[in-house]
Amino acid sequence: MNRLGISGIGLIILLAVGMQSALAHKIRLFASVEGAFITGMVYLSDSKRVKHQRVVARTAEGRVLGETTTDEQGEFRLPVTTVVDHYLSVDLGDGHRAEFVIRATELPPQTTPSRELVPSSDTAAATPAAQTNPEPIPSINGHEVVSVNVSPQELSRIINDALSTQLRPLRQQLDQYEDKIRWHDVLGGLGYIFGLAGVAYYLVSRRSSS
Amino acid sequence: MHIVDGVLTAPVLITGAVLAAGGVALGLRQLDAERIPQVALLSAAFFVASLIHLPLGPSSVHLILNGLMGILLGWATFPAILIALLLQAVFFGFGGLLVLGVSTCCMAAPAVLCGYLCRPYIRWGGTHRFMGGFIAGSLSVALTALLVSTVLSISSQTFELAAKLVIISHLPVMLIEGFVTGAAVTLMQQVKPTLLQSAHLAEPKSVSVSPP
Repeated sequence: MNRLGISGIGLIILLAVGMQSALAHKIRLFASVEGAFITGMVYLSDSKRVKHQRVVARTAEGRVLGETTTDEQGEFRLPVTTVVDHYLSVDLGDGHRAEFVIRATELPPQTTPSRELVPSSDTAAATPAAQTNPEPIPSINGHEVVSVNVSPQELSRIINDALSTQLRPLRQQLDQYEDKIRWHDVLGGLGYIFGLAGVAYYLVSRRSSS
Repeated sequence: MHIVDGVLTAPVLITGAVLAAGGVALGLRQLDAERIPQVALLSAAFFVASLIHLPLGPSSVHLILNGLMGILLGWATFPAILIALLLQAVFFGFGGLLVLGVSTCCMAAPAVLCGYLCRPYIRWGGTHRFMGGFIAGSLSVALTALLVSTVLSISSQTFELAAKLVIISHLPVMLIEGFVTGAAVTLMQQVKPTLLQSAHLAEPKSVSVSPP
């Protein structure tokens, strides 16, 4: 059991390290809010996208809020109709499923089904009369200060949209990073197995000798 | 084929846990000190095998290696698989902790059965050894897939859907694993016969004088 055993262990470790690119599967669901839509994607641990799978959004009680199917890129888009916690889930049917929660606080405050993400230039056009300012425009540090009349709700919506656009790739990256199988986890598992074997060996040999 | 927590119902989980405990107890009782390194090595191979996947359709499948374990370890397959599944759940999040009993049974029970069924062929030697390994490998994967779809269908999906998904997606695995198991057993006899002998799968070679 010496040379074959050692080469066996070596082969296993080599396979584990070398096969880092061919990682095995855990299905994951990631989603974020874009305007009045929840957009997201379904993928496997190794970043491979899952196409044509049903994604269902439910309330905390289980009532279905909406459902959609992932496209060729594994991405999906669900219109938001009520401001409530959305529990998204995807189920492959063979025991693999993934969930993601979009909190009501992430959703835009007053959403209607027909509302689309509107670029902020529209809000400037909506209040043209207030734009005219007879007073000389002050300047701070050489930059012109332009005054724009925007309602507080509009402002908060603009900020939320901008933040979600900027944060989305970061959250995606974090989600995928969290998910990566690292080879030191493999070594950890292998270490436990051989450690337990050592303990078992000690116990069994003590039992048989006493 | 990693079932996550929350898919199976409580009676199924409890039955699985009890059966797995029984299998593990039997396995530990039959374990003698010299076999422990072999058990550990196969458990490690099982652990790593789930990381090497074949992409298939919407999901992916991986080698299970339970046929090989059943042949070489017998009832000790139960503790070996339980430990490996526990570590997979803890380190990689594959599958839930509550379903450990059910998962262990689904993978270890077919392994032990196929191991016992195919022992005579493996002892026979020659091509029968390879065929015995092949049958053990592919049949244990098939039975595991069958058990998993049965367990899933009891809890939620209809049997047709669960069976179709799990069994059909594992058909290529059955083939590949049959070959791998058969090749492994043949290789073992050629390179290190004592491995098979210690599992009572081969006769120790005795010095004999052949008649002229």
